[in-house]
Amino acid sequence: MANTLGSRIAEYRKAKGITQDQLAEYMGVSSQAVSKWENDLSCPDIALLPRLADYFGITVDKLLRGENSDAVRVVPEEERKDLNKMLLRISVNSSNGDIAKINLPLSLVKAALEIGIQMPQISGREALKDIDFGAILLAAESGVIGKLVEVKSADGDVVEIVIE
Amino acid sequence: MRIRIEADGRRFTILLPIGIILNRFTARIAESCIKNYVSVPDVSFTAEQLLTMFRAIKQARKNFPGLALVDVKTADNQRIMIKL
Repeated sequence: MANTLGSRIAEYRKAKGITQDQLAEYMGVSSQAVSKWENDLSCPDIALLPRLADYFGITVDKLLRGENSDAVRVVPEEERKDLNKMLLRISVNSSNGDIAKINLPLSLVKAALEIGIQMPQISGREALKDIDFGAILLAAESGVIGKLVEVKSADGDVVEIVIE
Repeated sequence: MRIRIEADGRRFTILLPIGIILNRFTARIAESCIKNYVSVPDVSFTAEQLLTMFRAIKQARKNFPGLALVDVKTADNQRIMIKL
């Protein structure tokens, strides 16, 4: 699911098969306003949110927050995304303020595994060698998405691995 | 692909037109460079393996245009970002 309110509005609108003009007409705003929402240049008025959510058949909470990416769940086979459109997100927040975010398309991970690249060869970090990317890929292929790993070390470092 | 580097108040961006530079010819050059200049044990790739990765990178760029593959920010405001 998209990360911003605007991109979620665009996704729900497209899923419903309507144009920006049609949505604008229903909401009583201009089509330029809808375009701005979808491009995250502005947000819908707070009073419009319930009407917008009802129109898409979802809750306001789901519209604002998106799907809860924290929960690990298994997506039914017919609802699964193509592996080429899935991402593996790894984020490391260290206690000294350094932040590293790695977003790897799963197709890239798969290709790397097929030719035998190991993560330490890419990063030079021994700590990454224990992450079993083959297993992560297998889980993704089986429909598992969500936050697979969240580790907080004693000195405050936080590592998260999410499939989405 | 864009590589953006910010350090010491300066920033610059390197543009890599991967559609042009990632091909069979550059895969052979990379294979040769790895053989001759990379001294990390267990790191050796053939041109065919590199070509497979190049294709995967190009495909990923189609599916995720502008995706930040790597975004590293240090506490002292240095930053490296690699975007597809």
